Amino acid sequence: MTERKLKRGLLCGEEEAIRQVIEENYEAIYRYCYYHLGERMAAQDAAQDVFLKFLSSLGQYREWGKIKNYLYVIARNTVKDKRKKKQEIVLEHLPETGMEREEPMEEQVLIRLALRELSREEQELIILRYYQDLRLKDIAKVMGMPISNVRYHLKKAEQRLKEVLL
Amino acid sequence: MRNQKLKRRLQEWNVPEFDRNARKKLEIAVIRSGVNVPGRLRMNCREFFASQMRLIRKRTYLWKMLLVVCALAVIHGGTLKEEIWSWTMAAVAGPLLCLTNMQELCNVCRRGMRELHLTARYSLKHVLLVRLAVFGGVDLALSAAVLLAVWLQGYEAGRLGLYFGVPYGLTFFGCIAVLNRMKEEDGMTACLIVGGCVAMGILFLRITGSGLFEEGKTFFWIMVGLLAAAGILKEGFRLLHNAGGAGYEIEHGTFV
Repeated sequence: MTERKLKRGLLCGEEEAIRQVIEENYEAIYRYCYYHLGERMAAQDAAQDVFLKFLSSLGQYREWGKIKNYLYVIARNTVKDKRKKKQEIVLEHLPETGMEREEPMEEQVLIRLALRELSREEQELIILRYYQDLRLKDIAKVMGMPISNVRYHLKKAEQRLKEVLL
Repeated sequence: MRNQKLKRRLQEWNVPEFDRNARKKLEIAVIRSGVNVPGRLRMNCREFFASQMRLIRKRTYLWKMLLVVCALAVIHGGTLKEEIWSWTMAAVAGPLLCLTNMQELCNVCRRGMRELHLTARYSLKHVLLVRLAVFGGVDLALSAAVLLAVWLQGYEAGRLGLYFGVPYGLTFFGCIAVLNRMKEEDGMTACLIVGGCVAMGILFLRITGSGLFEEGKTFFWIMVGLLAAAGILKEGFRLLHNAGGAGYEIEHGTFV
């Protein structure tokens, strides 16, 4: 099904279109959430929220370009919300609710720490560009900034990462 | 350009495989109405088409049927003794049949409808497309039935089809050109004038003995028909483009 037909199908609530959107994009969105949240279960929950929000907001949204970009925009906001909630829990000193944690290897810890050194915006840019393989044009759409800004901030983030990791 | 060295280094951060069941569960939850997908509350394309058929006024179909019944009565009754008069009648019937559609199309193209379509799931473009398709299909079927009856009576159905089809096309072209330029309530009046002019023009040329229906003029009829078809395409696309709509906005951005 082409992107155009897919959009029409979604607007008509066709099962086939819904299934295709989930199948084609679930992994990418899950990975995106994982890079931000660092936990498998949390990433899966976030990915689920992204699709539920996407499907229930179809009728209101008027100017959606690529479906994938729209999903990334929702994922970005969902991750932000999850982070906020996580911070609140930490502040209130509540016990962990059995969230599965992976034991990251030394290399992975280094990469995570290097990414954490960057600003939120730069982290986002690196994840979208290097992990999600998005084009600059699409990143600009997801982030809602001009392409020249994306290029500039990405260069800066790359420079800082190179200093730490290479 | 991505920095390949940096990319390789960053890729060392492995992402654990996601739970396939979680994705499956999500699909099932969404599809079995776990989520209120807005689209599902609305009509699908087939239901929309059916609803549009109901919205077209019965008067429109009645006018068409009346025209066909008259044509069949004339053919069956053998009122047309001269072949040339049967051709004149066919040429005048074309614009009349075309005009029966125009009130419905005028209603869609009126000013004020644009605001309405912003609140609707299906745009005016869809409504127009459905109406054009329905009228085109119905008119084709009816004229084919009449031509068959004519052919069975021993007339030249091919030439009769040409004499019927060209004025029909010419009227349709004139009417949609009017609709593209006039959005007020008097659009229908303008369409009637266009149809009337075509019909009266044919009658005038017939009466003044210009030899409009002579065999030698067939090429002229074909050329006029082709010009009308080209005009219909041009004005038709313009009409649909002006109608715009939700689908158009999704593809090209919104003006809201």
